[in-house]
Amino acid sequence: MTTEEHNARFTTWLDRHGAVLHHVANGFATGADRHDLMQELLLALWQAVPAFRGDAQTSTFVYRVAHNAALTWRRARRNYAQRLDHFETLVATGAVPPLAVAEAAREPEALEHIYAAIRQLPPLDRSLILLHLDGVSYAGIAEIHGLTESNVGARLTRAKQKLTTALEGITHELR
Amino acid sequence: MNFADIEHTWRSPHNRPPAAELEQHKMKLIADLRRRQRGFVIFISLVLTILVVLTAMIAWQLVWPDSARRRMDFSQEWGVLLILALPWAAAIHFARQYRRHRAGHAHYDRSIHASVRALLDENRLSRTRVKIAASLHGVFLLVIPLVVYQLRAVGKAGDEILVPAFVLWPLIAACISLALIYHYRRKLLPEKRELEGLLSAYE
Repeated sequence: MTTEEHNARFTTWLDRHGAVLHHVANGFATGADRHDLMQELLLALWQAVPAFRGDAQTSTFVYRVAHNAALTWRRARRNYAQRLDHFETLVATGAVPPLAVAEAAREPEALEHIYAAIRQLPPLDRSLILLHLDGVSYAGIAEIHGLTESNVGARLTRAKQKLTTALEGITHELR
Repeated sequence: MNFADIEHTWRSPHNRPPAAELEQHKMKLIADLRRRQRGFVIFISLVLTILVVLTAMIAWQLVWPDSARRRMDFSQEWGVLLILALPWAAAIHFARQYRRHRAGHAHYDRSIHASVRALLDENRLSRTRVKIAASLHGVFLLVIPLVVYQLRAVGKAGDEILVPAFVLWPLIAACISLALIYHYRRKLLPEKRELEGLLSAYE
């Protein structure tokens, strides 16, 4: 694969599946970490381009790469506290708006609550529920994760229950 | 909020990344890739250059001994060969280990479960490599006095070698070993625990 082909395929995938990466980044991280994870997801996808052999759908491949990267992602802990301090200093000095305000301006509050509740789930359940919300079938999720369909079904039922319990009392703003 | 509400909210246009944000991430990725690639190339080139130059120097002595101004007598200076052989042996061992790992996890990309297993195995290999590298520095510290003794015995080194051999080199070895220990404890061990936790969620 030439560099041009590599770049072209990456750009196409990013255009088509950018929303998947956005969902995964928000579902697994928040604040300054979210940007780091997004960068990590893009890097994983870029590195995975030559490995795509066409024996799976592009979307399945992208889901697998993105969820794999998110599940095994470890934020740079050494720098984490430093970056958080720096970020909080910027907020305190008014250089950037507070996180809640910045995010609320971009997304409705209901969506933020959903992401916050998803982030409370164990990592594997988090990934399953994100895939389910993105419309991936049980068979597709089973293939991506290497689980059986019945196992996916059972885990999703529990994860959905946890999610709806966590979101009880939240008014749905978009209706 | 029930699950239908969640799904409805999920499909809203607000749950899509702004194009400008994606473009910004893409630009950062390009810069990041260049930086990583440059760092990797510099590191590998440096290690290979040192090993190849040292090996070539000794090979020169073996193949064309008459052309060497200060001929090397390997029966009296074999300590140098030992020092050179150890990193090569370690490098060959690492390459074989990696090949076995690749063969054992040929289908690591089939599912995330398989990838996690492969990553855990890779983590095990990394931990072994760190242990071997740290041990090598310990062995070097034992071999250095022998090399110094041999070089002094054949008259190729005088007192000027004592400070680099017994002060400078141990200091460098200690710094490298500390860096390896830090890497082992702060990166590899927590990563192992996280991967084991993730794997147990699958099993």
